[in-house]
Amino acid sequence: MDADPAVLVPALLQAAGLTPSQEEVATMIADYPGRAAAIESLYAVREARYEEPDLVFRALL
Amino acid sequence: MYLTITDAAAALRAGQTTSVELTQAAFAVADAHDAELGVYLSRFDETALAAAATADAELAAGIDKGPLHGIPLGVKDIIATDEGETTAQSLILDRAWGAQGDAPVVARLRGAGAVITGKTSTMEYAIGIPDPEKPFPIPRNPWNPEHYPGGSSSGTGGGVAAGMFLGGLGTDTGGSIRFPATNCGVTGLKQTFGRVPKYGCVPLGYSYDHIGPLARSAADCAAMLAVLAGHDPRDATSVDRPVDDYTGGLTGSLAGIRIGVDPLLGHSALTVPELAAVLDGATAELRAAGATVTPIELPLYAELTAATMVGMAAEAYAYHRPDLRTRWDDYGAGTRMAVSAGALIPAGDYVQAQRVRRVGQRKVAELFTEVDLIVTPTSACGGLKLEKLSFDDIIDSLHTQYWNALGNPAMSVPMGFTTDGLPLGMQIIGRPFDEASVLAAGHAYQQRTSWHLRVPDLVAQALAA
Repeated sequence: MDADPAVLVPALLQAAGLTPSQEEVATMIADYPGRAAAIESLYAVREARYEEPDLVFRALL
Repeated sequence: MYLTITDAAAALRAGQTTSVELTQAAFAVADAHDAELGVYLSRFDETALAAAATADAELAAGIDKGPLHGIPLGVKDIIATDEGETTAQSLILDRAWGAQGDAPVVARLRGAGAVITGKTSTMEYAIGIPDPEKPFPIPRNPWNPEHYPGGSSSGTGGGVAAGMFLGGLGTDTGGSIRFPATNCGVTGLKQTFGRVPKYGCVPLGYSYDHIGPLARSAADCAAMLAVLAGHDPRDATSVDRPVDDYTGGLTGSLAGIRIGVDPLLGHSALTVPELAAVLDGATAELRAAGATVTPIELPLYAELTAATMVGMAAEAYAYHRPDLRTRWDDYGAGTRMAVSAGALIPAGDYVQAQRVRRVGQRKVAELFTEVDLIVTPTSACGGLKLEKLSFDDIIDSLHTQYWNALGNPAMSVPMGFTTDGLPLGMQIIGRPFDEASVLAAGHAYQQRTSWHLRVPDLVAQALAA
């Protein structure tokens, strides 16, 4: 993980228009590396490289 | 007082009780204990007793709508009912939501003659932890009120355990049926994704949400699923395929069934030392019922658990962002933190989670060529202490999220207790749309054990009275 969570998390929250308390932001910053690692583990699944997701979309309602 | 739907249904037909008596008895338990246990958000005494009287009259006239006829059931308060507003245990939800009346699942229960006793407590919007600063009850575990009953279908699980109704509806996005089932010592089934329509239910994670039954026994869950299952085009993910006979296969035998067991002992720091022995005892009973039991290792366990947590947060965030922006403080602290995690997940990562789900489906389908059912513990421990409760610990303790990523049917049945006297659950998983085998295995296990009939002291006192 290259980005500094202390910079990235407040920026993402601001971009989303969310206004947590300073304490809540601090918790999110502390939690961020764990979440980022979990997401990285998804990209480490080799078989997913050419997999297609099953997203719900139908041309007719 | 009757513990199971099955026994109450038999007693109704034998003239040993009436639906009005069952409903009154259930309300009497609630009168005595709900202030402490926080099961109900709203009660429908008047309409429930009227429905019970109708059921009695119908049964007396020879009109028999099946095993749920005249049975008192609770409904989690994120599912719409005719009687009144749905709150999702939140200050946020527009009280006009659900004005269309009964969700299909509730309409189906009513059509089968069930008596809806009220709406039950939940985590706010089915996620987070109880917030004492908000004007809603704190659900407590009937086995020990200092402990959490599990969530988010807290009220339905605790209410079944406490005898406030004989069964009820929960919802499950990452384990929210199976979690209160294991913590409260009752049985809970998350059926295959799409098997039961979720129209009329407040969403959490669109591609992970399920509505399903909680009751004391697998046989009771089978009776409920038989009514709940079936297509409804108003739910885009509802699957149009025939409904199996869930009760007909409850033979008590597992002869010829191959069961793979993964105890998942290394996956949670909260694992209690006695879990392995309790699970060994449970699998010995499956073997004694005729099954072949072999060890397995679930593929991509951490990755598929992550796929549920990532996808659920992203989907929930899309639903909640407008309100999170304008009414942050009106959300419970645990809920707003859990849902706003979705703001930190890029769209591409969400899609990657969906791709990993497909890989996982293939790997687990391959595993299901070697076994017919899979067994794991439902949770690493008993109910956590309320005073120390954290969302992170809840997530860490559960072995349920994996199956929401995959969509397979998964049921928790009671399998024993911790050394502190808190229930533990065994999770039984089947192939997609093979709920019948899951229910049959749970029933066979419960024919050989009595964990599902153990009751907390307050129920024992009511039975003695």
